[in-house]
Amino acid sequence: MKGTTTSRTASFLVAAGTVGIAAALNRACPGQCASCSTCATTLVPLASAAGAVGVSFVGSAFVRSRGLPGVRPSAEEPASGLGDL
Amino acid sequence: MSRLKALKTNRLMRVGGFFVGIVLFYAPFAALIRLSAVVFPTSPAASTISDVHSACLRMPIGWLAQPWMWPTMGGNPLSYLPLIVLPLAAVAAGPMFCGWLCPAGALPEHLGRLVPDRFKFDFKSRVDIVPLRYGFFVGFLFAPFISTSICCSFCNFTHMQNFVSGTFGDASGFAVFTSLGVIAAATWIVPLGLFTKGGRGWCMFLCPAGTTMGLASKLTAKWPWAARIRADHHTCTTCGTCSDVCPMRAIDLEPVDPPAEASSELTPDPVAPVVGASALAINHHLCNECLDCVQACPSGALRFGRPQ
Repeated sequence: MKGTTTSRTASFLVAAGTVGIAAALNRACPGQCASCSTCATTLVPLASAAGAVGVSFVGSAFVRSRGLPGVRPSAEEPASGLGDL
Repeated sequence: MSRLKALKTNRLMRVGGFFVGIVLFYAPFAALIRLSAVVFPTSPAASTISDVHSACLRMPIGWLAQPWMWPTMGGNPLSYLPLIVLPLAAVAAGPMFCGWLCPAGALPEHLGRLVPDRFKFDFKSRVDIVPLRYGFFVGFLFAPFISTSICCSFCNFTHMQNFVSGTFGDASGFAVFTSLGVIAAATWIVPLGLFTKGGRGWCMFLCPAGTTMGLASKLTAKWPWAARIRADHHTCTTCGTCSDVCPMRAIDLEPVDPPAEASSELTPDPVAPVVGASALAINHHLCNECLDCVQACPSGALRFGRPQ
């Protein structure tokens, strides 16, 4: 589905920022496990990635619910009959 | 041949491409790297045949933003694969490499068919994939200014090498898995693979090589000699089969707007559908030309070729 310019820009920026966080954590990780608990903080980039998707999801749902112009939700897609191919 | 049989045949051929990709890129086979070592005996590839990084598709893209890495890139002829060869191939025929040859993208897609669709999340229906994809791409380009590089730990190409090495008796590759690498590999296979509709969540969002090729494909999709998947809106019944089987979630059924409001990103073929109806829109940012949709289409409305 396609969101508004605002939601798309927000998605873009949050996604880029997520990689920045991941890069910072990658720098902190010593490599071979040194039992330093750095890995515990890797939940942060995962949560951020989920946040990036969430921003897009919430933003898109919001504009759909408001019926703002320029937002074109996809048409219903009938089942193809091909199952779980 | 029925559409179901044609689709299965197409997918079987792509499974064959998956194994060809393994032989080309991954040690212990590494056919491409060995060939490069023969043709360019003084290149780094000649001394690192057991290392998939000689044919890395990600690092050279990241190095574009790092001038201090350009000499390294210039010394390895295989660096030009993701920078020149594959984007040019994508200009000519779309990112077929992704759909037909890339083992790292194919593994979760093919494994994902073992999981029923009702357990999968369809990102296309919930999020706008394209800006997220380009956001991650820009982050990838500039991450080395924060860290040394996020390549390898966050690279499914490397994780795939570890799986191949382990399968053929050399488990030492797993020793390079950092904590972050383990989490990234699990993310690649499980939530973004097995439990994502199409199985290519990592390709959709996080692959810089795929994003580069997708951008090249999109920008040149209307060139007269550019081969892409095209839809004939007069033949299409908007049954949704193509959208359902697309692993990259690149096909939408879009309400048809008057020409002045037509989307610039989703580009129906020039054979215009009736305004007010639904029409197929192929998102060339994402489409990897796997041709599953062409084979599955019951009305023959999809084809792979130049614009008409």
